[in-house]
Amino acid sequence: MGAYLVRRLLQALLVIAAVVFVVAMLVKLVPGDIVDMMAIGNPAFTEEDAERVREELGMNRSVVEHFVVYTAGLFEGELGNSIRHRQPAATLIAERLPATIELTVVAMIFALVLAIPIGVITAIKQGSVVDQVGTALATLGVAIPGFLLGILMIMLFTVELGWLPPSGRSGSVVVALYHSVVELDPGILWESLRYFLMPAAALAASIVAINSRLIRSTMLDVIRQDYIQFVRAKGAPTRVVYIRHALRNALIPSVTILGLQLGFLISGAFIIENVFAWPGLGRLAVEAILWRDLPLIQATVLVSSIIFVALSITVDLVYRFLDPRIDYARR
Amino acid sequence: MSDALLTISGLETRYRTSRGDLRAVDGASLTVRSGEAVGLVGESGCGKSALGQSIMRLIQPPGRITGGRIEFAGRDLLTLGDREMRRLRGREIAMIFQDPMATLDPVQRIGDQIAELLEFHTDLGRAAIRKRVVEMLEQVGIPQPAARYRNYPHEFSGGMQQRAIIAAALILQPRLVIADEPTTALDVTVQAQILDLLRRLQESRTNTAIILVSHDLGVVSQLCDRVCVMYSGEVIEEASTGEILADPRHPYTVGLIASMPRLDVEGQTLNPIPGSVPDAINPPPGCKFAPRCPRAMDRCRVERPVLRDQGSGRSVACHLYD
Amino acid sequence: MPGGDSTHIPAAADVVEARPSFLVRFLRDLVRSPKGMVGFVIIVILLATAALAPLLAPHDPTLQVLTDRFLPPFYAEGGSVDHLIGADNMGRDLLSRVILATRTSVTVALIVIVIIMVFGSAVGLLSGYFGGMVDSLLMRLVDFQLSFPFILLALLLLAIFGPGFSTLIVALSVAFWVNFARLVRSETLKLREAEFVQAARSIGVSHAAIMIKHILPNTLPSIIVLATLDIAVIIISEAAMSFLGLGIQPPTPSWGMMISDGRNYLYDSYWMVLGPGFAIVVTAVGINLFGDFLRDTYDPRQSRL
Repeated sequence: MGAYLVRRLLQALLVIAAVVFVVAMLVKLVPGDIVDMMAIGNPAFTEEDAERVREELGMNRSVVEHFVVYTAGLFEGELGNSIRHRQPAATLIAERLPATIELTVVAMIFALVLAIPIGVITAIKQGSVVDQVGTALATLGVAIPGFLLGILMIMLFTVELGWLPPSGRSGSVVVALYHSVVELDPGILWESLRYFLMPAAALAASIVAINSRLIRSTMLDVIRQDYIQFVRAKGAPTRVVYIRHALRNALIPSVTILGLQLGFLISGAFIIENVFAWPGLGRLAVEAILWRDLPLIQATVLVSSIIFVALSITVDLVYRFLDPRIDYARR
Repeated sequence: MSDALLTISGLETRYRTSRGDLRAVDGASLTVRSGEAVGLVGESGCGKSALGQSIMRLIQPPGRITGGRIEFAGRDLLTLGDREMRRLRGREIAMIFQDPMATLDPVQRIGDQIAELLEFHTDLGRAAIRKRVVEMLEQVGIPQPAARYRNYPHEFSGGMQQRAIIAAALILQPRLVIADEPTTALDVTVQAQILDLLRRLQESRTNTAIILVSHDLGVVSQLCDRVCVMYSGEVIEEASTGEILADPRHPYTVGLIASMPRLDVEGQTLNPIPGSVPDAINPPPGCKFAPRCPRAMDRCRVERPVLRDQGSGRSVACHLYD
Repeated sequence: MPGGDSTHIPAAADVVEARPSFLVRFLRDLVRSPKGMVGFVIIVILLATAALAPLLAPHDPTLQVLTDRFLPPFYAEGGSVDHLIGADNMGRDLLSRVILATRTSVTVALIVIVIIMVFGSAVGLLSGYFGGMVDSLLMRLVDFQLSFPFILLALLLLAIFGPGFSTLIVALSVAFWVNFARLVRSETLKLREAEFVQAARSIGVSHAAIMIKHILPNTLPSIIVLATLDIAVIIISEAAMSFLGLGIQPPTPSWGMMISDGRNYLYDSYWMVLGPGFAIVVTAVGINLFGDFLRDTYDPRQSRL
């Protein structure tokens, strides 16, 4: 286990080093003078400002020198300064990061909480009306892009029914959960969660569609296995047969796929944030592109990549926890 | 019989297929007395495993039990409610499966999988359950049982896995154990050990009856007092082990014994029964063995023989003995 | 042995009665599958709309008519049959814009799919055929990229080149080429050991000829199935990029951008998102249905996930 973890962490470091390199080289790769472009339409941007930015971005340094300086800066938490916001990119990201992580994790929880029962029920009731409705919804779920689903949800739950707010975020859901428990007031949690519902659901929808199908087909495969028959022969209640044994085995491929879907989920989060004016990294990044705020782009891409790598390792470990057959020593 | 533990009569189990219903068990009858070991013998596909699973009502769709009676300790199992049936499984009737590798849940600890029986059927606390499981593991010959409790199936050898499954089957001292080809998937040396274990356990528990399902008369003869021969979903002959081997009556049993490899005869030729098992979806109208039977008569092709008592505990389903 | 068909050993029945042509067999399979039929019809409509867009569009999609701003669809009060599904915030005819945007989406998808099919297949073929260090390095890259968030790669490219049509094409190609590389590589690995390939090699056929004439044709069914299913993903991704303002740039109409425009007027002019939204969903469902049909019929081994 320990050796495996070390190896996995080394791999992760390698990936992060590669990302750092590419991100650092961005300033060299942009054709033309990026600083001139940024100055366009910004009369307050003087030639001195331009020179300072050039120096900050490392445009005057050689490739190798720049990479070394940039990496060294990272170790001191130096992510550059946003040109548009006139603030350190690290500060901006620190403000936005929790919103993105919470959205992604809540969506992942939605995905699991919905996909598992849907997969199990459609498997147990194979061929029934419930199963057929599930198939139809899955087909639709894969075909509707998250941003469109988000807008359709706003039309229904905000415009038509007036139940949920169309955009924004009301603080951290984790903090709200804490206060809600301490003060025994579920209202506090709801006040935060109601902002999460639509973005997280829109983000989770296609994952739910794919994973519920996957869980269904693996469940169908698993419940035909001898070991399930053995559990039945022990006199197990149906619940134990399906949950403790069948589902536990059926979950393994789903968790594997969840690791692969993580990238998809993060991409989705970046897009969904722009539908719901969610104050996260995705909005920050899109704005940075539209303003050509290079240091901010560098910082968002870098931080997002590191988060992605960290989350992948987590999913990997969960998978290894679920499946004891994996031999750490040999991997 | 007054001391009958299990009486099966005219049992039918069918599987729905695209070509029609497959008759896996087709009117089989069988009696097992308390504490005895009965062998259930036949070629693969004769319905012996389906019969075993039918007793526990473990037939899964598209299969179902379509007729007959199963009486166990005075209760009619086919009309028993699901809840009562569940209470019976594992506690009064246990099952040992063919492939130990496939029988144990790959992601659960061995000990926990045995402990489940006590969890479902007793009020024992966690510590007591654990203690009992470790004792049982020791009884079936697993070294360092306390440490092995925490192992996963893939950390056990095939023989060890089967021992653990036997431990699970016997831990509640059931009145009937159905062992479905318990040694087939194992190495020859391990086979002997497992059979030996089964025999010892059966001898020490006079209350536990066993049905040993096997394609191998040799295996059955080592453990069983009585043998039932199955062909195409029916029991066609029943007798004590000695009598079956010495004096088989049904032509199929005769053929089966002739096809057994014998260790004491050198340079022998094996004599497989010519022909193949009849179609279980559209079986022939008369005796199902008639197309392969060297002694078939006209009557055999139109009228199906029933299992008749021949006296002295023997029964045969064959027109030759009417 | 003749070219690509050499894996097919004709059964006796095939020799006696000639097999019907591929087109006849395809149509017969198609008619038997409701799923495939629905998907096929949708794809035909999609392609026809894209090809004939300027002829089909009732109005100039960029023409702004001040008096038509926020014109509702024909069925609503104040709507007009002249603008069937209404007009947008600038008074442009929505139906015409949806039709022209179809052309945009199809164009982007076809360009991208051709690029990644050629490039991905070539990498997969070479990598699988020759194996070795390059192969394992390439596959590391592929595995990594498969799980890496597409949007981050896109952001890097956008940072370098700025948003626009060519950046969009490059970003989508970079995002999706790996699927083909992986698929073709695994097929090549299997075929490399096939008897007819060994036979060809033993009589001195060159590596290039073996790859192009013997291996590639045999991977075609899988490639076509993947390409079909990938087109749906590419169209959805293009719409998402354009929705963010990072894809197709005005004045070219695109579904994603139309939805983004409509996003601001959901309370009063919900119809602005309905037309393009409907177009995306029907397109994706249609392509997926047809792709599933192709996979089930011609390439049952290839699982979706």
